[in-house]
Amino acid sequence: MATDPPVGSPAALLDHLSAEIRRGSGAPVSSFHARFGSGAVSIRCHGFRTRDILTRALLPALPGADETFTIDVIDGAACRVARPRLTWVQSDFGPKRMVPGWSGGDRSTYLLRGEGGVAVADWPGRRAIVWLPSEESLPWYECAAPFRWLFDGLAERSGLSTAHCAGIGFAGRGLLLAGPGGAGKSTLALAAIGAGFEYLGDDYCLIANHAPQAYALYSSGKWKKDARVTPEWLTEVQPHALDAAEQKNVIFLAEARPEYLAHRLNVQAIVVPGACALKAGLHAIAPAHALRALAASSLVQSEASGATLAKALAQMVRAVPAYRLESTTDLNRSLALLRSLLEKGGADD
Amino acid sequence: MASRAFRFNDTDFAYEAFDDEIVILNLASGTYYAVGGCAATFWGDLAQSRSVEAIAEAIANRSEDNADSLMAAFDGVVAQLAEERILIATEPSSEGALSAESAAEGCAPATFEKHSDMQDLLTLDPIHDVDPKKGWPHY
Repeated sequence: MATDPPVGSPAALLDHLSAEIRRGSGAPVSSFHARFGSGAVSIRCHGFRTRDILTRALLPALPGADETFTIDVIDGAACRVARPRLTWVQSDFGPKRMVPGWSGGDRSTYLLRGEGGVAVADWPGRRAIVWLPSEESLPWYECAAPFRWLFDGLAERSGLSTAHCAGIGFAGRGLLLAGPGGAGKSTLALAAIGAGFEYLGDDYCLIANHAPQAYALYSSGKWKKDARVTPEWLTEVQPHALDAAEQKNVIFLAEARPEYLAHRLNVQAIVVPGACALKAGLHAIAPAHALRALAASSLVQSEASGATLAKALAQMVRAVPAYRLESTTDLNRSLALLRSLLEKGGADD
Repeated sequence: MASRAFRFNDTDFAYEAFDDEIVILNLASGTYYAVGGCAATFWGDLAQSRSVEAIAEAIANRSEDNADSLMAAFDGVVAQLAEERILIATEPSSEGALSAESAAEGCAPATFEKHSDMQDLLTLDPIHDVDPKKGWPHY
C-alpha cells in the first residue's frame, strides 16, 4: 500500500477524509436521520455490514425537523481507506477524546482511543468525519451511546448541554435523576417504564441551557447482569446485547418499548438517588447539593466547554427543586414517591 | 508588608454562589469544592483581587471574641484555594469599601471542602509515544 504523506492540520485531515469519501470505494453506504433536540443529524455509514450498529441507540428524527449536522463514518477496512497519518505530537493530547493541540475555534479533532480511530468536526460547515479501523473496533459503550463525544460539541453550539443524568416523566412533566455511576439512575429509569412512566434516557439527556427542559438523546438502557435489584419487566425480556466490559445488559427501547419513549420533558425537579434505607422517602436538598450531583460526572465526561455546561447545570438547579431519594429494594415504593412528586409538584417529606 | 490579592481562575474553574456557600467546579475533572463561612461571605471581594489583609481585618471586626481564630481559618482557606489554583496571585485592585462590608454582622469560620469522586472516569489510556517526523501512528 502506498504511504500517504502525513496530515498536518485539522483542515487537512478534513480535506483528506472528504477526498476519500468522494473517491468512493464501492462499499455500501447506509443513512439515518437521528433526532437531536428539536433538530436532526444525518449519519452516513460507509462500508458497514451491520447497518444500524451505530444508529440503533439513536432516535429517528421527528417529521419536519431541520437537519443541523452531518456525520460521515468510514469503515477503513471495508472502504480500503488507511488510517490517516497525523503529525500531532504527545503534547497535543489531553485526558479526553478531544485533542486540544488540534482543536480550536471552528474545528475539533478527536482521538478515539477505544476504537483506534480519529475524527474531525467542522462546526461552521456543520459536518464531522469519523475514521474507524473497522466496525469490529467499536466498543459496546460506543454502540449504546454513539457519538456522545461529538454531540457534546454540537449541543454546545445548539443552545443545549449534555448532562449525565436519567430522565423520566408523566404527561410531559419530567424528573432528572442525577448522581455518579452506580447511584441507581439506570435501575430507576428502567423500572419506571414498568410503572408506566415516560422514558427520556438512563445515562445522558440533552438539557436546554436557558430553560428547565430536557430532550431524549438515546433510546438505549443498560443494567448490570448481576444487579441486586432488577426491574421486574426486564427479567421477562431478552436483552439486545451485552456490554462485556461492564457486564451490563443493553436494551434498545425504541424496539422493546417505543410507546414509553418521550421526546422532551419539562423538568419539574431533580432527584438524587441516595443510599438504601429502611424506609423509602424523598427529602428536599439545597440547590448546591443538586449541582454537585449533576455537575461532577457531567463535567468529567464532557468534551464541550465546561464553562457553558456548568452554567447550564447551575441554571437548572436554580430553576427547579431538588430531592434526595432514599430507597429500599422495593422499587415500586420509590416510583410511587416519584409519581407523587410529578403529580403534586412537591414531596410529602 | 505588601498586600496579597488573588483573582479567580476562570479558565479552569467555574463557581456558583448559593445562600451560604460557594460551589466551585473544576471544568475538566468534575472535582468540586465548597467554600463556606466568612470565605463565602467575602468571596466576591476575594475573587476580584481585593486585599486579603483588608478582608481579614473586616472579618476580625465582625467578632470581638474569636477574631484570631476567624482570621486563621480564613487564611487557611485562602491558602487551600491558592494551592488548588482556584485563586491565582495578582496585584490588589483599587482601594475602597469591600462589597461584603454592608452585609449582616457576624461571620462563621471559613470552611473548605474538596470532593474528587470523578477522577477514575477520566480516560487512563496512555498515549503512545509519537515521532513528530513520522506522524502518529507511524509505519
